[in-house]
Amino acid sequence: KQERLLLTFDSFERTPSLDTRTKRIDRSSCTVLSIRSLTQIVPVAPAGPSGQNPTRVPRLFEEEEELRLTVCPIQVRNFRLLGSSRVKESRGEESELMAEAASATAPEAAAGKMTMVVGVDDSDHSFYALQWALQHFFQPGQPQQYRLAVVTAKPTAASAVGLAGPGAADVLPIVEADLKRSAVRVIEKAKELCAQVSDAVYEVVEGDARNVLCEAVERHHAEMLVVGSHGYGAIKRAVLGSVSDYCAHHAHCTVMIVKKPKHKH
Amino acid sequence: MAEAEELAAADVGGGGCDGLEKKPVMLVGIDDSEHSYHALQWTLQHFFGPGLPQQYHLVVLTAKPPASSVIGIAGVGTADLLPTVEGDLKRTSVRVIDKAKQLCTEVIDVSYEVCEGDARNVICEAVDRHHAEMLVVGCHGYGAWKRAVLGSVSDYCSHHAHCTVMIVKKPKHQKAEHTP
Repeated sequence: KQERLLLTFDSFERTPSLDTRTKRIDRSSCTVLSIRSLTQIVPVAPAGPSGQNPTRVPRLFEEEEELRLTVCPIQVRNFRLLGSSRVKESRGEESELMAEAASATAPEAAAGKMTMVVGVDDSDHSFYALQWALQHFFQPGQPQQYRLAVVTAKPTAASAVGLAGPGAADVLPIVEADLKRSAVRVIEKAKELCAQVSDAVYEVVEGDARNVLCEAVERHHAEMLVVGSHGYGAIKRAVLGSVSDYCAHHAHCTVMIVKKPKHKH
Repeated sequence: MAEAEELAAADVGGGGCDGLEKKPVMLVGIDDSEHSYHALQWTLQHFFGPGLPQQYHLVVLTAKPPASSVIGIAGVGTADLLPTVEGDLKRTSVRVIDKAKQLCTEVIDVSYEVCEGDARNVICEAVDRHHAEMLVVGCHGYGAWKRAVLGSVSDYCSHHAHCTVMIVKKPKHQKAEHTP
């Protein structure tokens, strides 16, 4: 039985960046910790109760030994690390590891149910898609054949502000806090909508929505991805980019694009 | 400018009389490719499986391209070829429907259609005609170039159909298939 420990960093940017396939560490930051005996990394939602909270990134290791983590402030992913060990930063600061009572549900270990990932953002189209999915696949009277995973992507503040120009350094924390609040609000609303779903997980993952959704599909080994569609025309698609379009091409599973009808039949 | 004409009258398989309950319509667009049959099977497995309540009226639709569009690219002296090509296309679409019928034996409420015209328009018009709630298409898995040159029906449909579109992909490598 594995225990879960939480690794606390004191700023949101310092999230570990790891390549799970090759177990290579990305060393592009000043604070460098390296990881040994890395067993499983699962991206997770930071979802702290208030904006000021440090990012809690739980981590999984198998052995109890001294581990060092690589931290990359630029990297966009959050990883859930489930495990236990002492983490020592190379600069001599120690990060505290806090044990969390594990309720032990790894995403893939569901009882043979298929997983459905629903991507949501803070728009009406997304919530319509979520409601549509609930209405069609998670009706109250019927046995629920799917595990539901609601995923929202929180863009990095750097990417949101990057287009704005000079003098952005002061704006960054404000934008960051605002993005976090927005993501938390999205998840709260999703939780309300999904109140009657027995098997649901909610995630906030940092990064660009397109990649976040495709990775979530891989991670959960999802059978189906449900996304809303803003209904952009060709030009808007080209300029703003379409998440549903990208996912339709690149997700490795069935993609369902739910459109909000402009006029009801 | 392809016009959709129904060649074969809708052949209703099973007692699907739509007076009693208006079931929502699910439209599945298929052509003569592995990807399409996989999409149809996937749909059957997930929505019309053995233990599941069948809540949808299934419409299986295939588009028969008009012979002139197929030969048009070929060039001159094609007037003689026209009947041959036409016959071949008809046979193909009949074969597609037959195969679909074999797959859909368990479905209570199903109808089959063959429409003439370009697949993209045929599918979108059929969605409007049936007021379908959901459209299911397979996906050839073309990359960016092939899409630009050959055109992607699933892409067009996902943008222009007025209903939820489900794009079923044939996995390149089989992951552990979860069976309900």
